[in-house]
Amino acid sequence: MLAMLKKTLPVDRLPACTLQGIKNPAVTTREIKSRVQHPPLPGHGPALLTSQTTSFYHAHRESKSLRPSPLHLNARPPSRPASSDAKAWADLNPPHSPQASSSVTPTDISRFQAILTSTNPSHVSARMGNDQASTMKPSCDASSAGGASAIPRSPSSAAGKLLLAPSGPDDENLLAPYTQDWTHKWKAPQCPAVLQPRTTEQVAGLLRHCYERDLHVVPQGGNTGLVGGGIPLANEVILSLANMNQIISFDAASGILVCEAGCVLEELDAWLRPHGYIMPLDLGAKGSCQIGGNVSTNAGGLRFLRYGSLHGSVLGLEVVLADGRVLDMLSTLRKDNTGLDLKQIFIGAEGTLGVITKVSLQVPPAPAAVQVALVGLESFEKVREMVMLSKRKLGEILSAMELVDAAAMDVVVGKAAWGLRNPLAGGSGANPPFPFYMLLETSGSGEAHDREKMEELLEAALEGGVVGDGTVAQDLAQAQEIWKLRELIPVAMEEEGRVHKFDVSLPLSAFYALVERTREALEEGGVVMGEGGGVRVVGYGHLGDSNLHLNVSVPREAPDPPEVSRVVSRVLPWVMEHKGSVSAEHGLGQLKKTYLLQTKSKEVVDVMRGMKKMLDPKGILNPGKFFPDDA
Amino acid sequence: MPILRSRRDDSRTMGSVVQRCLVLIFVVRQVQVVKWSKAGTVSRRAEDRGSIAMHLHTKYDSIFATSIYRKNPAVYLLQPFHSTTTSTMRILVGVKRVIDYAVKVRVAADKKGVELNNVKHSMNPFCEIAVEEAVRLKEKKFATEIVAVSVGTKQAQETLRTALAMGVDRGIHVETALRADQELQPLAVAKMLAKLVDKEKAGLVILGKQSIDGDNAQTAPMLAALLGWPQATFAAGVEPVDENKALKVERETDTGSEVLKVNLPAVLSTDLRLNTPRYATIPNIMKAKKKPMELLSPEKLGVDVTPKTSVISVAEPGKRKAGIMVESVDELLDKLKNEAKYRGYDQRLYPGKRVGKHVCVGFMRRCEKERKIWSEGRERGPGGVVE
Repeated sequence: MLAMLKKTLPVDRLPACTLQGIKNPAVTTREIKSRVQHPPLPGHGPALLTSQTTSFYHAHRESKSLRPSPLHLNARPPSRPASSDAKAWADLNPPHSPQASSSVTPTDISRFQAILTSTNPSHVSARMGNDQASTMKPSCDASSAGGASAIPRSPSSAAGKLLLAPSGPDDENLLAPYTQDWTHKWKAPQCPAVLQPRTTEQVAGLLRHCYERDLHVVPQGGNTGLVGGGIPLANEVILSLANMNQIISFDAASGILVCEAGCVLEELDAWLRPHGYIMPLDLGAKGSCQIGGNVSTNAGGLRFLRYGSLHGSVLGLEVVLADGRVLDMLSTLRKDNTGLDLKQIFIGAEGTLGVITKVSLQVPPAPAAVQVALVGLESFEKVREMVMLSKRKLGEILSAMELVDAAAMDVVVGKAAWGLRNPLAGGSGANPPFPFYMLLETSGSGEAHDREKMEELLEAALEGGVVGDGTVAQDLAQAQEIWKLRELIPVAMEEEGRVHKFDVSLPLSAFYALVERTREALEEGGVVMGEGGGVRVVGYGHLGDSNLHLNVSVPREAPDPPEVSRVVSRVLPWVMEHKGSVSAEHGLGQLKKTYLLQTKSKEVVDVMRGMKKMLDPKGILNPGKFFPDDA
Repeated sequence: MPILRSRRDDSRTMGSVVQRCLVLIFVVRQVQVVKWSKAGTVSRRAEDRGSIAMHLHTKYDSIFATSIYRKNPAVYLLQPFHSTTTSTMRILVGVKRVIDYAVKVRVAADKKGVELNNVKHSMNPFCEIAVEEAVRLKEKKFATEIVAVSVGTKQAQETLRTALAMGVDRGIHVETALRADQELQPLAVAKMLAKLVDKEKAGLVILGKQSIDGDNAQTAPMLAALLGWPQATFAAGVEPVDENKALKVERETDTGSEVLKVNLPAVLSTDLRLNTPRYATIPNIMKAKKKPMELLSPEKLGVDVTPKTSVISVAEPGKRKAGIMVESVDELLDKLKNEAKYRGYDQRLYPGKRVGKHVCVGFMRRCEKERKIWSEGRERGPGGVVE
């Protein structure tokens, strides 16, 4: 009897989490615990079954699917054909069926077409700020190019766009930029259409239709996310905000910008510069990411240290809910304590509660004097000392503090085609002479004053032996080159191979220990490290916010060696043991949704689920993301 | 027998004979010069002591500074006066403080110039390359000392500090209230540099080929003419040859590059391809604060810097018409055919082209003779309107 049971149920290939949901007398709890030899890759199932975590899973008995586990190393590879990258990342894209979604029929397509081509004049918020004295053209008229966007539109484009999936193998896949992310980790299996509405009315109409028909929708911004939050899991329709890229108004006196959610971050920054303002956030992906997506994921970035979180910078939002209701919270008031501040729950909700269509932001004035310095340090203790010294000496003008380790510097400088050089390497440009580099940026209103402060800091650092060598950029070109050394690290790593990315918050005492521990573990496992086909481990991040980015790149051709998978799967548990956050700024998306239950208590998660149920009862917005049990 | 002899056909004119006598006297007196301690201001610097030629230079400075003697070829026989001996070689580098290269320049409200207030300034990129080349020559032991000169307002000292941080030994700031991008003009700068070359006894002058505010590219050639020195402009490669008595310079030209050999002393102007300027490291920045900086003025140098030209107005170039995003290929073709025709995309006749009220539907088959006439006409180009 027992043998028969064991034969029918492939017990050794089931995920440990689902075993508890099965009332199988043949398997005892002790057997389950002992069977967990191979902890899963990040994102699926429990990371490590410690006694603490099993309690969550005993409570969590709702897992419906009995899918073959991607966790175990002898799992079957997915049967569908995939590109080499997608094949290697196959464990992140397991074949599974989410909650039943109706499939898109031709009637739906024609209804989408009808909604997108309707050109009713858009409704401008009646509650926009009182001080409109020095604004640009306020109304966003659907029939004209309206607003002040970077590129003028021909009048016929007031209608939205609808992109359909290729009907045959010969059709070129117009949907490829929308259905796949730039790291090639996630790929939508079969996306029927990409909707690109132009106005909020069109968004509301589309969502209303999808709600009635029970069609699942994935709102998408610039598709630059690193956790797969904007990529459909099954046959969801993509709602891309790319077409809504008009700036609605700007008040130069108070620095309040109102724009649509599809405006690209870099374009907004460039538009604001001549007016003497800058955007409060800056990311490596600024050329493609959209402000709506930034707000939805509560993006951090390089300017977080100085200008704070988007929770503070966003003054108002216009959100369309799942059933098509439009929530007009687009205020331009800096202070408004009337009622509950509902916009805060949409900031960081990753598109699961509503689709953001307009954003009102407080933008800071552009600094008159910016200095960029790069210093080389001998050890991480010196880095910590330098952090304290900089905060003390630079005070209010400090605007960015970034860490780049020697491996990261090596990777970026090694890309000869980019023509970047290590400023502290000396004439020969040999291996990076320092194990750590820190990038310091100051933004202030007086050049002489800021320079004095910077020189005082650097003198103190040099004399105190904290800093080995360093350089201050003498002109804007050198400043941009130094910033590129930090901003192009993710791009360089992507060229090296497939990258496992970890974005963690750790206290400064354990900040770099994670990187060192990862390297040690890989070396112990006998993995070939280094350039030319080896595994590369780099650590870089925002020192001022204690946010480390750990990237492990594996050569592209073969799937991950088992030692690498093992080490990589232990990273996030280590972070949790050291009381850090598993996702500092990238969000949960698909990759880290299972960690929600491990980082937040059950009561909190229950309230979160309650809000999701209230705002999106049918669960059509971004299913399978953010919340663990939707999978 | 001709009474009057032209200067050209006979080198033995009076003037040249006198010059030669002077040369002889000169050479004879060379030996005795050490005793003439009262002659001019004898340099007491240690590096000048070793060379007799240096002492002689101070005595006869006034004679040889006048232009008559500069124009005369005989003077070149006396070139070794200037310190080109291997014991000391001083390079003079000119640096200019300009609006930073990466800044978007805007026209000022009064349209008399560009907006300078609250705009980031830094060293001219070509001057950075000049400083870098001088520092490299010093590292190669070709030069013993580098002096950087900047003419401008008080803030030019910041630019000089940058040069000092890159490896220059001394700085000279010639202070003037003139506006650097308009009123301070190449001829005045060249005259001041010539005075400084004589004062500092430089053996090589390296300048940037042009400054990014004036874009004149005149200072280096003017300086070479004033000094009577050879020049190699737009240098993309510099190499000392002939035991450091000459330089092999690769020049960038419009059609390629040419290689020159230039005898020292000379004036060089640098082009972009010459080198990549180094970053100023913090220890050097700290040291630069203590390096000597001399303060001078045009009056002290005896140079008249009144501008000879004035800028009447400055305007931005015409804005390029913004491109339009089209929604479909049909719209693109439509725009190309109708709106783009005035850009001369296709003035020829082809089936589908609208000509006045008509549309060309095709071409008739023609006989050989007509075809020949037709093709000749096509070769000659489009003529009048086809009715």
